[in-house]
Amino acid sequence: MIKIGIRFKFVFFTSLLIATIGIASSWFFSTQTRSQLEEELKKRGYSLIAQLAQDGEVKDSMSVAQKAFFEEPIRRLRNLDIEQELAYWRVLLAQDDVLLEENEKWIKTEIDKIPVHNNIEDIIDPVFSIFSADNGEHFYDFVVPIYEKQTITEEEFATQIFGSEGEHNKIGEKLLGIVQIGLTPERINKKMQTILWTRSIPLGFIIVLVGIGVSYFIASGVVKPVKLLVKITDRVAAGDLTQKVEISSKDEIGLLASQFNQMTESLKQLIDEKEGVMDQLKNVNKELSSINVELVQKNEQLNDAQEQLVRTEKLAAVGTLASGISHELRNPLSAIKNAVFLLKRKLSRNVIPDTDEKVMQFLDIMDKEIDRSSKIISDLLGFTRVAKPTRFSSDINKVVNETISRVEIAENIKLSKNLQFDLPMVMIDANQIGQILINLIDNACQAMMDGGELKISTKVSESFMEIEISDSGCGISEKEVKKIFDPLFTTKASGTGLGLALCQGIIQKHNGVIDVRSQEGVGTTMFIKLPLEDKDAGSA
Amino acid sequence: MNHKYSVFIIVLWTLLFSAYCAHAGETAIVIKSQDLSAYNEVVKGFQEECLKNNITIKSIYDLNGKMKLGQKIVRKVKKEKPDIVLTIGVLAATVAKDKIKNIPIVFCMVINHERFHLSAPNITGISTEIAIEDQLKGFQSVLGQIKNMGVIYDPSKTGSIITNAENKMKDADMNLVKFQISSSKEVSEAMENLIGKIDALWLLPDSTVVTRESFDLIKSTTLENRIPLLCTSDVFVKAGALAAVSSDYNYVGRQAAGLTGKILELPDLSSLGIVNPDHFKLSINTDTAEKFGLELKVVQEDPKINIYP
Repeated sequence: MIKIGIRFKFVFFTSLLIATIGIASSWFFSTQTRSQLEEELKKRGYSLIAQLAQDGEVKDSMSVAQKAFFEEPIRRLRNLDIEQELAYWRVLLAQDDVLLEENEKWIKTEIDKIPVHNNIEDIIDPVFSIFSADNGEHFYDFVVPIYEKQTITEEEFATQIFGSEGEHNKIGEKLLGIVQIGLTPERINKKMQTILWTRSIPLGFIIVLVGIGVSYFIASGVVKPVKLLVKITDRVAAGDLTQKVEISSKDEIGLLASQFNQMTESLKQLIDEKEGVMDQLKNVNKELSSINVELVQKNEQLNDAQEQLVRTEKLAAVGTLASGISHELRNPLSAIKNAVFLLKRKLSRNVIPDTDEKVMQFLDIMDKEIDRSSKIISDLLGFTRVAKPTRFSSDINKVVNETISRVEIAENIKLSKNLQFDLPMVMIDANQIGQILINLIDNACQAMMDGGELKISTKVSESFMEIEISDSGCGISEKEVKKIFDPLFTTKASGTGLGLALCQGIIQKHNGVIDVRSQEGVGTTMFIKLPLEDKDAGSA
Repeated sequence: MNHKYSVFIIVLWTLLFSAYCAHAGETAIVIKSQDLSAYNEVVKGFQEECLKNNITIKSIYDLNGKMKLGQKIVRKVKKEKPDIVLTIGVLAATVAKDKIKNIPIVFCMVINHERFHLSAPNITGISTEIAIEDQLKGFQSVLGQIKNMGVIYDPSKTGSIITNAENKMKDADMNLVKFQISSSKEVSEAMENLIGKIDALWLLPDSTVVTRESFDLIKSTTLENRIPLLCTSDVFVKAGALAAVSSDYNYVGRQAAGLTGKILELPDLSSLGIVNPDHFKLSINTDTAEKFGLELKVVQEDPKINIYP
């Protein structure tokens, strides 16, 4: 679709309007001028025929019906016709006889084609009509009756002196005939043509041209700032809010520009504010994210702490309980062991006759179970009373090897060692760490009752000494793996649930970390991380 | 015998017819210029007096103010062969004067008849102007002695009246203050000139002075300046003038009938000249008189006076 601009529309419609008004005005003024000229022609016609009617020589000529006497009146009439509009003249006597009829040679219509008025007695006043000839010529036809004054004005005066009753007719006038003249409006037509070609059309043309020019100028004056506004609007729409419309006129366009500038400024302020708020939001978001991370960490720490606390509380409770129970059970067990020892000694010396062999077996069982109970009590007491580690600079590989040598590993278990060479010395309580390793290796071996592979490795990672003990046993379920360091939790039928809790307690006293990774059916790996440089180690 | 008897009868009838004709008296025809009540009043008086004098009025023609009718009427008059023709008004008088030469004519109601040269061997007339003495007598009966009488006139129309009046007024110990005009447009100037110099204004039947427009001016000016307006026609009294001495139209007709009788008694066609009306009437507008504060004793004394309105 073709886009038509405001300028074109304005210029087009304004020009159309001006042209319409111009044409209408020209038509109106032409009509008025023509009407005025026609009125003037009529007045001239009436004037000429009045002159003729009042010419005494005309009356005399008519009264004696002498055509020759009209030469002078007609000459005078033609002299009065300054505009040379007189086309024909005719004198008709009261007896309907045409006394005289002549026409100017330059008219095309013959005088006998111009109608003669009948019933001239009915003509009282001057009569005007327009006659159109067959050849297209028009004539303004004037007819006036010519009377011979017969009355004596003194008789009228007598009416005044003696008084009158009612109206009286015109006194003593005799109708001699009529005089008819014709004027041609040709001069009007020529004048109108002249006016049309020399004034109306050029003036109309000039008006239209000036109108177009003025409307173009006005339209440009309107469109230019509008275009500038559009251009600036595009830039603003593109995001450049620094643009300003430089229109200083006091009209509506100027007001629009001013409002547009205000709007742009307001928009810029709003966007600046928005960006500021967005930045603030980003910062807040960042802060919130970092806080969130911290919170997560804290939460984890809190969870850890809570777990630790729970564990510690449990340990404390278990310790208290174990301490109490152990204290109360240790002495009876010792007494029982002594008694079993004495019984076994007497039986072995045959102090008691006829003793069944089974009694000796039973006493052995009792002795073993007493030892086992004592061990449990010892473990409990050891758990509750973990001694503060006495640290010395130790070779961890050596500790591992010594531990392996002290542990009885089943034959169906393959031991793989991957101990890193030239490990730095680490400040540890070698006995406690060795106890932990024993515990962990025992657990691994117990998990591989049907055989498997036991891997033990050492290495340095960052600032920690790491020890890994992994087995290819049955593994621990995900649910249970979280609880394995809880006191009294065990998956074994004969376990006390104190071993790993005890290990964790020792590692923590070394400022280290013990962790587990297990997958059911695949195996379990225990990690021990001990700090290479321990700030607490100096106090040992 | 029979033939002789027949001749006798014819001679007898001829004698009887001649005797009848002699006994039947004269005939007259009246031509009036137009249909005015004043003219009709003249006709009425003429008819009444003719009846007494055994004069038969054959026809009364009305020219209706049209000159062209005059020729037709004259032709008829000539056919009817009256013993005398009475013309009423100037149109009838001039037509008759031009066309009728062998029948005695008596004219009347012609204003300023001198202007129309109505003198011929067969023409006798009664002028419309009352004798100056009679007019003065009438005006003095209303106003008492008038010292300065103003008058506006056109010498070409009423110059002879003024000439006559000057002498008569001197005799009556009255001063005539004249102002000549030649156009009705000068009436205003004339009035301005006369105001303060005159005790009364005498309005002559002068067509230059008296027009419809000028009469209104004269009337209003005289009323404003308390100048009695004296006229020669009761029409002006009716219109607001103080008094008028004018012909009694009925008596003009009677007077014309009397002149007719005298003319017919004459052996030859001859004229009795032009005479003044032997009767006149005084008309007074009482409203106007009241404005001037006049005591109209004359009205009480003479019941014949016409009183307007």
